[in-house]
Amino acid sequence: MGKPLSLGNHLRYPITITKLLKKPGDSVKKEESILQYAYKWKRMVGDPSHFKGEWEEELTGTGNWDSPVDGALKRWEVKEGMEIEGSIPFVDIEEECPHSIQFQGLCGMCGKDMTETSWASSTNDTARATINMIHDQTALRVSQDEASKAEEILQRRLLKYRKLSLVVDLDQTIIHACIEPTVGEWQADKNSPNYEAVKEVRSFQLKDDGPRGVASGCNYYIKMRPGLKDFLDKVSEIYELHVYTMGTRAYALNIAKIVDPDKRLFGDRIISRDENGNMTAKSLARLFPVDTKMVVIIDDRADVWPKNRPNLIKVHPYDFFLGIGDINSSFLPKREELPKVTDTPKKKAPKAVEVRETIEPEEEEKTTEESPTEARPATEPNRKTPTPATEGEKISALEELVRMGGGDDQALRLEQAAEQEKFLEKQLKDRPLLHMQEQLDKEDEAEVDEANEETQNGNTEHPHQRHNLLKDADLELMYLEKHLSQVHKAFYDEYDGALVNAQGGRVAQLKPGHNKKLPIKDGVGDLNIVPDVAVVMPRIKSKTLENCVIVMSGLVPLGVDLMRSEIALQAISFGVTLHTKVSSKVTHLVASTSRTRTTKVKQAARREHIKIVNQQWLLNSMSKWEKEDEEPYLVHVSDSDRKRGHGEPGSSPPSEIHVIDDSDGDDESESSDEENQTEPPSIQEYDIEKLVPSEDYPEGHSPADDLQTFDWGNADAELDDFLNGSDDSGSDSDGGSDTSSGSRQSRDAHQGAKTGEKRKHSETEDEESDEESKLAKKQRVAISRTTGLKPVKTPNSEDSLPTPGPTINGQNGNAEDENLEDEDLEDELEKELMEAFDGEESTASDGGG
Amino acid sequence: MFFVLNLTHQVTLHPSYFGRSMHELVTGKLLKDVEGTCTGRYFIITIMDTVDISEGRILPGSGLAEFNVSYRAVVWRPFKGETVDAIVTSVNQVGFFADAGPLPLFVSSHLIPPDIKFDPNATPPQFTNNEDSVIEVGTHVRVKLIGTRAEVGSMYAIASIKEDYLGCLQGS
Repeated sequence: MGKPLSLGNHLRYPITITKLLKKPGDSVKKEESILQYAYKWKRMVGDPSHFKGEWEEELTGTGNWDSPVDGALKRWEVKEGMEIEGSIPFVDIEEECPHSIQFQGLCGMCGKDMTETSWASSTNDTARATINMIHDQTALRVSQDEASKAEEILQRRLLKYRKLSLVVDLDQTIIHACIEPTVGEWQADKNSPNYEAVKEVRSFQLKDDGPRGVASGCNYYIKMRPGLKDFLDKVSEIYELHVYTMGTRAYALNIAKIVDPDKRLFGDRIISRDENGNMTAKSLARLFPVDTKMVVIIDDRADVWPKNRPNLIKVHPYDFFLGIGDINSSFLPKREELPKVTDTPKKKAPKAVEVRETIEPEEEEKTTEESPTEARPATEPNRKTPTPATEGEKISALEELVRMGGGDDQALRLEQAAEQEKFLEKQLKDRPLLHMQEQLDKEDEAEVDEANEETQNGNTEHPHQRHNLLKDADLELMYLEKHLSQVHKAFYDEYDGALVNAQGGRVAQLKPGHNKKLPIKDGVGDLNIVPDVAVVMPRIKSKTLENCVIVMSGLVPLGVDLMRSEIALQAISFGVTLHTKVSSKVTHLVASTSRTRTTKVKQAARREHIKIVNQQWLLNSMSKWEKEDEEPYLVHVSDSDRKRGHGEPGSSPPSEIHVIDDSDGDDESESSDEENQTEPPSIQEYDIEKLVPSEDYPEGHSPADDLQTFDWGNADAELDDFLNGSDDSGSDSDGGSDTSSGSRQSRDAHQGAKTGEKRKHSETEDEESDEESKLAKKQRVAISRTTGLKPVKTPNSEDSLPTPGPTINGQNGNAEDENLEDEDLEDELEKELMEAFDGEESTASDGGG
Repeated sequence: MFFVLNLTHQVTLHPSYFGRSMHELVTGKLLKDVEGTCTGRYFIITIMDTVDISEGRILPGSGLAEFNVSYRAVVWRPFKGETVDAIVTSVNQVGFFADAGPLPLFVSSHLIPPDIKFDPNATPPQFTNNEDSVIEVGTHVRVKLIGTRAEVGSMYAIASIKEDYLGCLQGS
């Protein structure tokens, strides 16, 4: 393998080759001249002060070209006497050593110092081996060639033993760790209600972990996920296991010692954050730089694998020590939270309503006990972030990313350690578990005093009066094992199929480009036919909820783009078609249990075919990889909601502001998922002059939501209406204060809009008037700068063409009624309607509830 | 290779230590400061004796006393081509790492005889020729250094076992 060398850009072209100093076959030393060339250049000669003045003279210079590498010269691409115009490859030199393995700046093959540079070297030799693919070393780097060779060997071996690679996360995936001293106390105390649960907890101390302030020398308590031994034993037969954790190396080794004492499962294939080289993300490329075709990941966090999602099986986080979370992720960006399942689907005891108010883990405990119907305990708070962790987690992901760019390993590690130390200290000081148990005890006592009928609350289960805080019922690994063998089977089925084809068709092997160096050995075929897990697995997954068209309600927090939220990405990977609005195509509405009366629930309730389920249905379906029966998860929808839908459709016609504004074809409607939760991303666009204050609105109802879709043309129409005296709502308290906006037009428009608002809310109570006026104020402010915006909006809009007739209100009201009965109308129209109901009912429910 | 060198070092002493046993304190501090360090060219293995301890000089401003100590020390300077014994610390498919005393070194698979192959399925993973040579973590190996590099306070080396009489040490 020769290395073609180029002349480089620093020469004065054109040049003429005058002499080749080496023949093909000669050995070449670094910095040795191999070529002579001549070039012409001009310069001014003479003395400008002299009477002859200055003149230009052409001169001929010669130069030597020196070899930047050691090796043997193979072939010249140029001849003596040739004239060359630019940098071209001109000679082939076979290097003695490709320097493809480097350790601390030394070539691992020839022992030369790679950091040395000289005048002859064109590139830095350290750049030739940049890939870091060894689990426990960062100093060792290999080149692309070497990496692919190593990976090829690995793949052949795996194929031979019919295995795949499995990258396993530790924290909250196969174990749960905490350093709460309370656990140790419970372990020692046989009378503790939690004794049974913590009996199996293992502990260790980290000695060689450096100074850690308060947290140094503390005990780490490790709870293995139920069924872990079996799981690993079985899975290791069909997978080669790797550990990839965000914990420190010492921590990872200790865990491995507990989980896999004889190093049979993981061997030395353990990588920790010390070697990861990245603060917030894990990457398969760190271990499998060339090809991730045969790698499956299990992790409880999908967001740390930004590049490898198709290979990932997201595991439901194992949360044994409640409220602790992941002790090794305090420096990661905050987990996206889902609203917790605070209520069981069927029973909706009044008590549970109270439960919702307080977001305390032990409250959740209680509700679980009420739910024998659930196969899996709803106890596991879906996405609870540890309360003590908030301090460390305030740093935004972006900042982290910026910092990651720095790449200084040592500094990065120190930072991580500092973050974690803070977090651990807090845990030691606050002892959240102890507090929770105390509170639980207190509540128990209270309950006994009350002596009410709530015996179902778990007292039957436990002979003693105290409830235990920690529960150990988790079936996730069982499903996980099933999925893994499913993926393995699918992968090798496909591979076998391809193998038969490849062997049958000799043509394939004769094709140019077919690598002849890879004969079929050990029954293992060409690696090109190996299927890709990242294709195979999503295919299986996507069949799970293939035919489900889902709308989510109350699951994605304010200000988060639905399509980029964790839950949505997950759902989509399982084949869900995600819609943002309730329509006839929708099959399921996934609602948060804590918010069962949102507009979307009501809209969905109106359509018989839509199943309204709580988020646990979705989570369980995704966890089991099969569509769960909806029955146990159905959300109770109050009759009034249903009735309201059927009984008085479009009973408040004056919401035409919304009806029309939606026809603007406004694209961001997809994100306005939850009527008063998601702030439209494009708000900035309209807020050119930063006139819309960004204060928080108590009900989460931002007036800006209405504004940005507000139809000014229609406002004009209403103004006409108003001026004609058809609607006299004169007592406009806000109008008087309108001194800032000078233009007559905007003032009028404002009043028109105000009228619309007034009518829209004609049926709501007076309490709303405060919010109303605020809304109106916003509109007025916005109107004062409408002129520039109007033309932007109108072109897309059909209905908002200038000068609509004054009777448009009435028409719209009627149209609404008709449209409701007629489902076959265009989607667009339907969307308009839904938007109308959104607005109308949200305000209604906000005022009423 | 090991050498005996005459070296000097500056030791400073806090005023609270001024007194009769000052010279012992200076020697003790010298041992603590110097022994086991790497200068970038060699490792100071051990200090044999102090040849001379100069008069103390009080540093103006701080009151610390400064002594110039000359001492004899055994140093080890790893040379290219030197043969050393080492203990394996980590094995992976690209090669293995070993420590020759204070010197971490790496032996890549290119510098291992072709008959000794990496076996990832063994526990623990090892390089083996399925006969007498098994290189795993903890194995004693004899290697030849083929390149060294120094950084501030540390040195690294590349080594080879691809020659006669190199590799696993028998009976270890």
